[in-house]
Amino acid sequence: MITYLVDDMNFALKRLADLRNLLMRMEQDFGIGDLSYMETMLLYAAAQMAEGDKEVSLTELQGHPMTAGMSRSTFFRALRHLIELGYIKKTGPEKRAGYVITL
Amino acid sequence: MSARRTWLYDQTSILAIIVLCYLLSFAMVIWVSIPFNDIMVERLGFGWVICLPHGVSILVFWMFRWPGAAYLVVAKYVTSGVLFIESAPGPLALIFQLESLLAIICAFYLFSGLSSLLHTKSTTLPSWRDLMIVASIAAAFHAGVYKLVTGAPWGTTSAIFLGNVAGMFLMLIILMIAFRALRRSAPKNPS
Repeated sequence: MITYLVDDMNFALKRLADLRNLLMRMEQDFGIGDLSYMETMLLYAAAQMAEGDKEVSLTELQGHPMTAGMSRSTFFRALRHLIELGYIKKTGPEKRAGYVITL
Repeated sequence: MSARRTWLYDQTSILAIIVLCYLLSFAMVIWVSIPFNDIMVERLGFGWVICLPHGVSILVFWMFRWPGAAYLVVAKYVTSGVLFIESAPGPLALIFQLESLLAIICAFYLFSGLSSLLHTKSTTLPSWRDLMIVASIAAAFHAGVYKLVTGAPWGTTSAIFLGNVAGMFLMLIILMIAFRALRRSAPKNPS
């Protein structure tokens, strides 16, 4: 029975991130979302790769299937807007910056 | 703190949060949904009790799966013990607590199976619509079993179904508003 219980708090936080993504999608469907379609796709891509507090690099974000069709300018504009709104936080020095998801 | 104590602390924390959420949702039914239903019945001749605990149960099982089912069993019986302390629920009510959880589990697996069969669902991104479908399947199952066991009229059965579906939808709306408010109140990062 004990082995069936949730392994650790990180698992719970990952599931909370899934819930958050689901609710954001709901906002989009209701037409009250803060993000454009491209920004939403970028955020989902980051959320999928991040899994909790793990940092995601720019290369990883650009290589994700959800962002594959984005032009470079659209990608960086969406990323900048997500950072401004507080969805994503840049960590580390400029050239080696990582990105983490924030609430 | 040792690893074992940390694990125990995590489990207890998660369980406590789920029990509290379930308890609050049930309290909302008693203090808000039921009085609202009484007004509807009086004015419209028809009503249903919006069942928020159904929404909580669906979300907990979706998030945690089988561990979630274990947490929900504890939550349901703690809630029965706390809220019905003066008039303890009968054995049938307690059995229905477990049956409603079983309905949710069956609904999830049925939905997963159908989705695989129809190749319609991407499991990559969760969708609130999928949760609503699962909640509806579980609500139909639960209402059907209730009718079979108690012989309740179709009006009562349909009210149970509608109440559970409405409870799920309302739970999602409440969470959406809460998360949106949290996000907007968080400090913004400079560009």
